[in-house]
Amino acid sequence: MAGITDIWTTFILQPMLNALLGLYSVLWAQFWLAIIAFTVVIRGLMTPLMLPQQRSAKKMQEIQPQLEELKKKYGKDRERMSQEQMKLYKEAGVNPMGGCLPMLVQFPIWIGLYQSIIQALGYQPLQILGLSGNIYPFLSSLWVQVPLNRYFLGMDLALTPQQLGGLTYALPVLVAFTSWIQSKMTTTGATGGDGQAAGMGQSMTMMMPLMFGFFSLNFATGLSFYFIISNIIGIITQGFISGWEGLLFWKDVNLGSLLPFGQKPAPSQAEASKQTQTEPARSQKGTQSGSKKRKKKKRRRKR
Amino acid sequence: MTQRSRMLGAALLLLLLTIILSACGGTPVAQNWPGLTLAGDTIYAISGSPQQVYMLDAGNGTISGTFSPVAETKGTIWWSPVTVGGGLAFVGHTASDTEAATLYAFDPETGQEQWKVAAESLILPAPFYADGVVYFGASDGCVYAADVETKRLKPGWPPIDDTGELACQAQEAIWATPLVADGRVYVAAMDHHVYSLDAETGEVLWTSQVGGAMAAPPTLVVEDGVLYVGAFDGQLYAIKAESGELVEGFGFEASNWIWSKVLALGDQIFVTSLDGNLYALDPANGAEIWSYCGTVKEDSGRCKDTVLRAGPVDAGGSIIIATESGELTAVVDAVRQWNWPSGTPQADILTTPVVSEDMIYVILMDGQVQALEVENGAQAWTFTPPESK
Repeated sequence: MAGITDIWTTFILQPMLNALLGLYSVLWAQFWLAIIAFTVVIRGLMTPLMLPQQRSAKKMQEIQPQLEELKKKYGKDRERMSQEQMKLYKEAGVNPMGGCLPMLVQFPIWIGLYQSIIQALGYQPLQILGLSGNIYPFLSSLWVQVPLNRYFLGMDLALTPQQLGGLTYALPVLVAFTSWIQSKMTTTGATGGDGQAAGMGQSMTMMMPLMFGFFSLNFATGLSFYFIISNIIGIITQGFISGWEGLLFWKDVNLGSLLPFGQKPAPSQAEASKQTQTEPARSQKGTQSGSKKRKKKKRRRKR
Repeated sequence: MTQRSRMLGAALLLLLLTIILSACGGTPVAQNWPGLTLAGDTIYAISGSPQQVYMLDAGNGTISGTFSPVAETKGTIWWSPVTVGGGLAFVGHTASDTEAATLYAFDPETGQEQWKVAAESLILPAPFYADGVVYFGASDGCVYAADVETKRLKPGWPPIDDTGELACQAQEAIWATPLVADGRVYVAAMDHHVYSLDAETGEVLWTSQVGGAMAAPPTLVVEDGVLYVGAFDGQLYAIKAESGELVEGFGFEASNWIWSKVLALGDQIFVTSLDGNLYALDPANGAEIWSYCGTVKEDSGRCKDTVLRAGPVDAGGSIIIATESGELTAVVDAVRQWNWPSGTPQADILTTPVVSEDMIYVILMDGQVQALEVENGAQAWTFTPPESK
């Protein structure tokens, strides 16, 4: 167990902590600026991982009509349907699981960044003692920075919104909102259909922002800075790759969609017309079968 | 597996992940190392779970009393080490949930609470008693002073500005015990400044800026009129007590932060560093006379796998040091005299040990107190707090 802790400290915590301290020392001793700069650097380093995912999202949008065709053609044969889907994905260069890798890579970054923030902005002796052991000996010039300026507009970056209260509750909301916009822009194509991928896409579009919002509520506010800046960068790059339609979120906002088992949301105009073109038989059938079942139930009750 | 159940599964997985990660991060667990004080025949140890002040017979380690305030708290409690003076014992107590910081005065024999005064922020360093006044620093950067006779804070301690707001001396926390001598209070603060205050009025007489934060109190060598204080920039500073000027020609730099109090002994000064070394220095210029590293000294100057947070202690002819990993060693002129037998079950030691004539007392991070003979390190008794037995 100690080995895992050592590996974590050596390869994740120490590099991040020293990078943050280095940025802090050149950015006018403002930790919030260091976090923002750090986020930009991390996003830059992750570009080779993120770009394919973002391009894949765009391609996903482009192949939606073909996916609908496949659905019409093989809708009843699930096995064949998924084979054809995979074939189409391969041909189009879409990796349906492409979003997982950047996400997995980011988890250690979030945890490492959280630990770095807590240690760098420690307010009690044991935290600061830990800091001394994690600053690289060749960066001893950073020692003079301790204790770090932990405030941004009077907000302590090492405490959680729950501890700080007041306006800081806006941070989790901002995190969730920017995360939602980003998810929406990435999954616009996937959510347009009615298949399993679309369902998953819709689910992710709602769940991920909620998850990030919840994180931000319970973690140091400094981490919220990372999430917000990272999301904004994601939105901008996605916008350049696949257009800015996803930003027009109010067009598609339907509060009903927030209820997991509530009424099905009314489709947007474009989606509605698409649905009427592609799925009249299915929806009719669904309605019929539903009414048939209800009739059967009524008969049983009468008996 | 249906689409809905897959979606539900994915949602549950995300929720679980969120909860787990929130639990991993959450609110940081606040801790400090336990205080240990020897006054007369009594050891005052901050120990147990929940922590309280244990009063132990220095001769055999039996409990002679305890002190814990009546106030209930569900959060973490920060205790300062105990200070005894003027027939009373003083201890700082801060509850993390209510952020109520209080200095308690209690009977040093019975543990009975006598009186208390409130502070605005965490009280981490031990108070200092001098001439009927108890001085203590807090994390708001203020130095407080309570009059033992009136049982109230003295006017001007902490300083208040015209609008009625606190106008603390330091811009950052005070983690070092104030030092009172010759009508002056000397305070080393985390804001890279040493302050000299008038012990009566609290007026700032001088401030002296150094290169790093300080969490250890200064040591005054009275005959030279010089204060020695180590800082987080790894440097040891010599400051003229009268004027606050740095002593010209004095300089010493360790390979990591200095967090411990300097020990002045004879014609040498001793200091430990987080780099794991014990240094013996010339008080005139800071030149290294010898240094002791219990393991291997690396090229960086650091002592491999060793951290010395606890300060050096004079044990009548030898200097005793305690490493973070729980090694206790007696050193004379860079030569090891004895150390704790290997294999002794130990927890980390971050608290500076205390010494009586023939015994040395150590408190481990788990709250256990051990008494050893100064001459050879033989264990005399061990106190384990009842809750962690």
